[in-house]
Amino acid sequence: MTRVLIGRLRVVVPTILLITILTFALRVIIPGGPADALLGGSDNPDTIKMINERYGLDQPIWQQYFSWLGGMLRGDLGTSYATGLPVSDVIGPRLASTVEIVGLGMLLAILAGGAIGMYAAIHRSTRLGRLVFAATGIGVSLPVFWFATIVAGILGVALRILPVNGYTPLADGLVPHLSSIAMPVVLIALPSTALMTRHVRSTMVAALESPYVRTAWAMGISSRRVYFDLALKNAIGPVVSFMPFLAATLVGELVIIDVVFVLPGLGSAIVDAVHFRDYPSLQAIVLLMSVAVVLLSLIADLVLTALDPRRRKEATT
Amino acid sequence: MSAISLPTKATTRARVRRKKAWTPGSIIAAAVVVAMVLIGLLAPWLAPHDPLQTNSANTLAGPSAAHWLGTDQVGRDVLSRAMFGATAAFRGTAVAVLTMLAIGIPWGLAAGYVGGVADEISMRVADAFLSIPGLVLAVAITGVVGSGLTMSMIAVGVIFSPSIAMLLRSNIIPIRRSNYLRAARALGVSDLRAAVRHVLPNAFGPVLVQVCGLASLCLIVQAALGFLGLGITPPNPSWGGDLADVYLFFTQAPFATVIPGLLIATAAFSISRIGDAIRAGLDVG
Repeated sequence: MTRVLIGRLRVVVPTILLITILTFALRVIIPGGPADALLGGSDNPDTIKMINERYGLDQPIWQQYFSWLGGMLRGDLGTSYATGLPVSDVIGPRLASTVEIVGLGMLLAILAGGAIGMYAAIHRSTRLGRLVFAATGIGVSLPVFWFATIVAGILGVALRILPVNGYTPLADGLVPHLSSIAMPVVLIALPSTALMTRHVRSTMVAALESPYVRTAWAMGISSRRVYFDLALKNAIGPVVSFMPFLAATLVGELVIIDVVFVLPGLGSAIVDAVHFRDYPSLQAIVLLMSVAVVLLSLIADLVLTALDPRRRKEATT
Repeated sequence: MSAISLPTKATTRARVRRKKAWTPGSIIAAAVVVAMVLIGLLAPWLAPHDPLQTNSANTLAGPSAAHWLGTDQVGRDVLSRAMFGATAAFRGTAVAVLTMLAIGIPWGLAAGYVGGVADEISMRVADAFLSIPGLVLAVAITGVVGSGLTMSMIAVGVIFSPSIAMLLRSNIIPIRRSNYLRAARALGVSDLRAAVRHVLPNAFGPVLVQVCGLASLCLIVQAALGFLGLGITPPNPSWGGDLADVYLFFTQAPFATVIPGLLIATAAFSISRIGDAIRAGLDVG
């Protein structure tokens, strides 16, 4: 497993480095430069010069990149333009709800999407199987912010079954905590679940219609073994390569879910950063979310690899 | 005997395929998209009211003869705003899709046709791009360059371009070894001409299906930006922005909440259904 991890890291590390370059490039495209944003349109050349010196903006761009990257690696996320406090102070308190909702959402999307996808693949010729597949088509194109507002409106405002007043930490009791994250988790997982279902279904159908499965049926192997031991294990490969897209979709939805459910997470932090033109926070959040996507897909990849002996062998060569 | 039956068999098969592609569902989907685009283009002439005209005496009203779809929280006509919203939605989607193609096609051609180091580098860059959540980067870029539909939708197009590039690349690789390409090269066709005239048309089918899927995604991202108050500056009409304005009044005026969202969902779903029809028509997986 260590060798598998090393093999994956050879891909993951350059990817993360490229993400840091792309994220840093956000600073380069700011019209008028960061000093202008910081001053809110004041054009006194002396003030701009002072600001540039103070934040190191007078250095060559590659030097700025390396000092920014060095800071990120040491855990120094920069200084917020909006508050003057370290960005880590802005982001730190926002991590709890985000980590929990994204983590549970990803788990839900993989488990539910996997199970429904398998059902739709096995029953692909029945009416219910086709209906499930058609429903995922709607699920993919359903705008989450619309569905979220309606669900929050019905369950939260009209019927008052679940609260819509933000995030209740675990310290305030298990039931209030779980009921405050129930709707966000289910809604954030919705599009990813639909995507996962479609993907699992198509790879499973390909596996089920392959000659080795036909042979297995002919040999009289039980349907449970055909579905789970043969077809599912062979469908894992394409599902793994789909993980980054799934994770990116899920993390992207966080922005919407945070805003609709008034959650104190990274999604609402990025919207705040945009409104206050707080670029250091903006960069740090984009970087954090993208690295989270890479790490989530790495974890999913490793778990699924552990399930498939053939992939384990491939990965080491 | 076989010489006569062969063409018949071929035509039957062709007819079956065409039937599969244009089911009633996909025809309706295509008609819906065409109608929405036309309404969006003709909104200034079709809309019964000024979409910015407020009326404090008639807010959150249900459907009536004057306002077919009722009014929103400041008394603006929901139907007129929905019509002008279509303009924003499809203009934004078109900008994103054109950007996506303008970057994705040369990128995919370079990676698949040139191969080697260019391929390796572009794969890594694509991995990095695809790890950045589309909506998050769209929000960030809108925040950096300021509000405005065009810039944010160009950003969305840039983010989605690697999907096009990578799919094109994987379709080009088998063509690289094909006999017709070898024949073309043997006849002295230049690299660029071979890539554009021979490789691209043969590899483009599955990409077209993907384009529809991504176009529907672009439409949703455009609406999501509007919902967050970032794409179209309020009070200008956009489906996402209108939804954000009225959703807090869900219990008082469920109708006004449902219309913009329903339009976004219908448009996005119809575009992806066209993609499914193309997929069936091309007989690609």
